[in-house]
Amino acid sequence: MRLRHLLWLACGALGLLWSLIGHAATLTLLPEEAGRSLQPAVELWQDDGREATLADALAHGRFAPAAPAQLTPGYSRAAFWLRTRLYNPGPQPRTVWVEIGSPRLQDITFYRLENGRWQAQQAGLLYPFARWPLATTSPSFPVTLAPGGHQDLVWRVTSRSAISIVPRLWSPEALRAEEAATGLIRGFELGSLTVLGLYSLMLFLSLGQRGYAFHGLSALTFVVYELGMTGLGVRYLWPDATWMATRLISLSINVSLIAFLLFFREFLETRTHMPRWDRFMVWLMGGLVISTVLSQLVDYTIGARLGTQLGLLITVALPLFCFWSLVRGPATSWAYTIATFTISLGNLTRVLENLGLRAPDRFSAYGVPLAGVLCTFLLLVAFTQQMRRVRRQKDQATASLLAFREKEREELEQLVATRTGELNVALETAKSANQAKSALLAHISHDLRAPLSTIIGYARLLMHPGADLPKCRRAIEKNARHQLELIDELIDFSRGELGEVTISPAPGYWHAFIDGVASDAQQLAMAHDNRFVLDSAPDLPAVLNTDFKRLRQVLSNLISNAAKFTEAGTIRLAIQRLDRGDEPHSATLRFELHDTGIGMSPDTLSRLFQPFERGDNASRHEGTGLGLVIARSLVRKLGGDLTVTSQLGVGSRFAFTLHIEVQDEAALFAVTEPSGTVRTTALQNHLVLVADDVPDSLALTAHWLRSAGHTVLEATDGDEALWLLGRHAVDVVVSDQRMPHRDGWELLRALRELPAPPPVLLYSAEPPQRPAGYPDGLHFEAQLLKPADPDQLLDAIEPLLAPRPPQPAPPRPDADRLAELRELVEAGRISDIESWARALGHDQPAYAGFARRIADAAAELDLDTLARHASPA
Amino acid sequence: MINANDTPATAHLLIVDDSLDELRLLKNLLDAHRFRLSVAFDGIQGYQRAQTLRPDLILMDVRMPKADGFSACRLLKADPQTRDIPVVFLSAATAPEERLTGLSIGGVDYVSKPFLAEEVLARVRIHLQLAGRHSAPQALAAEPLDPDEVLLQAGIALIRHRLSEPLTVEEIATQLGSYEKKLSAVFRQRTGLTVFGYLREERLKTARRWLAETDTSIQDIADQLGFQNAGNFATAFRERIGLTPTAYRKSVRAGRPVAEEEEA
Repeated sequence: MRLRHLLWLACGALGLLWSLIGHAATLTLLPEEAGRSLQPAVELWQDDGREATLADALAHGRFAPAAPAQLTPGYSRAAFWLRTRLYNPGPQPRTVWVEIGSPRLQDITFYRLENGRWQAQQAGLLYPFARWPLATTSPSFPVTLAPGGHQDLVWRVTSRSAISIVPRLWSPEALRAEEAATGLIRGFELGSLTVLGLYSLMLFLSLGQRGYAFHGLSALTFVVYELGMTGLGVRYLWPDATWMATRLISLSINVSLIAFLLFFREFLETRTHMPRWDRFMVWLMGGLVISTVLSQLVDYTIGARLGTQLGLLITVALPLFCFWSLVRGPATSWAYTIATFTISLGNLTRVLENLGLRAPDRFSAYGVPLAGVLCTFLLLVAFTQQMRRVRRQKDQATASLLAFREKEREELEQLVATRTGELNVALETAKSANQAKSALLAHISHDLRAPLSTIIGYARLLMHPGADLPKCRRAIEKNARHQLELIDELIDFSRGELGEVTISPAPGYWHAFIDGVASDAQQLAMAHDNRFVLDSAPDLPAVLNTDFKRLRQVLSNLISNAAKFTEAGTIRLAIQRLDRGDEPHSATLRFELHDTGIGMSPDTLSRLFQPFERGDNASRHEGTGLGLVIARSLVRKLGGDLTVTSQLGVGSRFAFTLHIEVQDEAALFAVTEPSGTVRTTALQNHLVLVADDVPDSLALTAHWLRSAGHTVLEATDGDEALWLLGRHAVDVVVSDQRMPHRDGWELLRALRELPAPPPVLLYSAEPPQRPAGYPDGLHFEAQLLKPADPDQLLDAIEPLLAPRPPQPAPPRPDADRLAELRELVEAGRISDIESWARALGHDQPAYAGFARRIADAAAELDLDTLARHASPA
Repeated sequence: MINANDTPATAHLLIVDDSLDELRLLKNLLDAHRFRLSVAFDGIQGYQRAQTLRPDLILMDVRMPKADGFSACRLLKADPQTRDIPVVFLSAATAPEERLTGLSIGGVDYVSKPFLAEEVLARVRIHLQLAGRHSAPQALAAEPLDPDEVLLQAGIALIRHRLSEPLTVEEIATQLGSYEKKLSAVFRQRTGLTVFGYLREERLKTARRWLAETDTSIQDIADQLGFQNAGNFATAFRERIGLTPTAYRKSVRAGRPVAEEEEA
């Protein structure tokens, strides 16, 4: 009590002092006050020491008119003293309410000079709301003025929160109306924010995306912050929580910011996409945590200021960041950027105000929460968009994974199928190779044994008295040779396989070679009633340098192959010269062997050159299946490639091309050994003229003729020959075709003009080629290709010397007898045929010749000949 | 008339060989001993000539084009007209299985090449004598069979002889010097069954006999009759007879013969 009296006394003294010292600027009341700023009429004294009492302030306070910036100093430890004087000019007493500033101010003591005494009232966050003189959201104090009366006002403000003193004057009704309007807006803002926050939390609970949780937390703590900042919290929610009202503001905004940053980190995936930004955000969050710790536990002002500064940084940085990530890629939605711009714009005013850089106004009061609502909504939209996109990507990824798996499975299946196919082919190949091998073994064992058994049989027969010795010898020789060929073929094959065959080219007469091949081919072709045709180009060189033995082997392999598989058809060997003779020392020859045989299926063709393989339709024919393999390997050695085309049932064509060196005839005799065996049984001595320009050839021919007992004249060209012919009665002329001065054809023409011209044998390396301008009727009487052996030469000239009349066919018996014979032949009754022949010879000696022929053929088991003889015609 | 100046006992030999040299060699050998010879150059020709000539003995090469000696022999043995003519095989191949095949399909002897003339002569004579002992009924040879029937009989004989082997129709046809289509047609026409169906019938018939008359195990019977396993056999048997092999055996042993279900 005494204290109160003392206080009263003191206040009274102060009032007296106040009246003595002087007055502040006076503000005249208007009839209607609705938030008019007191600032122009306010004087301010900043008491940095915070020690001064009202008396000190009144006595020593250096009050000065306050600039707006001075009234919003931000964070400050100083005590702010303000004073003003109100004047009521009207006739009525007036009550006005003085609003001090932002609702977050902690401690406001309001002095009013009443009846010469200073009356003190208090409000602010440090006081329970109930003790505030007015139940308004922001601290306000009532002042009553008598008509025409003055009222001095002094108030002191201290606050650890950011200080913002915006004194305004209100009629009570105006302030209430204002509060009602503000409350509506706030309610809308904070309600929206709360709903959004709760919605986000729901989303978090249902979707499990952490981003929603951060978003919700951020929104809800922001609501708490706004409640604190606007004073609504104190007024309605925690009127008595003086100890935490201030701390809650800082705490909630810091938590909100941290959650906001976490949310950004979450949805932008900065950890993986933008590690540098991420580090920056972590730093910011660290700063916020420090700020929180400081503000809550150590010093509110320092902590809160730090928090606000960080808030400014975030406000500036986040829009940039969002913009940057939008530019960088499609990872974020446009909505993020707009949202962050919005909140930044809204927040900037608040932050600037907090830092004392800007005076509070409606913009800072409503901008933040409005921006907050907008921003929060946008963020939710963006985040949901993002989530949807992520979900879609995930779905796509899942779909593509499934597709990939499906594809892989298909590929695997295909691979399995392919492998199975390959395996089957391999098995098939192995099987057929195996079959081919057994077939070969069977063939070899049979084919090699068969001739041998025949040979042994005939050898035994030789010991029997009365055996037909020459026949046995022939049969033995034939079979032995046959077997030798088989063995040679096998050896060639294995050599070819081992690559041991060496090609030794030597010059040789081409035409004689081909003639020999052709005559062998005739023999082979006859076996199956085939016709062999040699279709050789006329312009082939006479002497070529190649391995004739191997070439012959190739050709006879091909020909015998063709002959084997062709019946009553044609086998044609075509030889062409592909070059035009521009190069004198080389010729390119194309060999083609056509047949009209059974042909080959494409399948057989593909296996054709495999050893021991034989065509599908070849089983009825003899052979080892080696011939073509050998032929191909030899052609390769000779420098060509054997190719084959064929059509089943139509025929086959084997072809190859060789480049062969062209040689001079003279080169031949460097390598030819003189033949030793010359028949010395010429029937008669004749005078033979030999014309040849190659001395060795001439000498050899002459030697053979002399050895056979003839007399020989030698001429080295046609002129010399003519000269000799004029002096000797020559029986026969043997002439080369090409000779200097006068060639074979000129010699022939000149010779034909002589009386009783001798016959001429053309003995040349080339077939006869009548030069242009010679009469068609001009022929050599005979021709022989070089090289020939002596027997061939003698056989060739013999008919020119003594032509033999042909033997007449013996007379045939009557039709009945022949029919009898035919029946026997058709039944294969050999013994009976022989008996028939004996009987015929015996009964009708006129037909003895015929009977002998039949007997001979029967002895030889030559049923074809027998059938021919027995045929009715 | 033709053999007027020969002894009436002259034996008529048919030599079947694709090699002229071989034929000449044999002719030389046998001429010296006054045999009456006829020749043929492949198996089919050999069989046809044997039908018309009815020789006393056939010397048959094994490996020949068209139909080999074995095919010809199978046909000869299936034809009542030629069934009793002894067939002596000649071959350069010496595999014992081949000899066994030759003997098992009705050949009386087997001479390997190269042969001793004396050996051939001796064997020919022995078999002529042996054949001569029961040659009397040959004169009453049955009605000539038509070639299809001969082929069928030869096929049936081949199938019966080789029930245990997994034969294909093509193989059977080849071994008879015929071809698949022809053989199938003959079987279908004359037995109402496919070749394979006939083979299965024969197998099951044999199986029934063995089940009834022997104690051979089901597994052994399946093996012997060319079934892949006892299960396959049992299935086939039940489908045809209506009882499992075991049940069939029990039923027969118990004196309740099971009537054969004739197929239409």
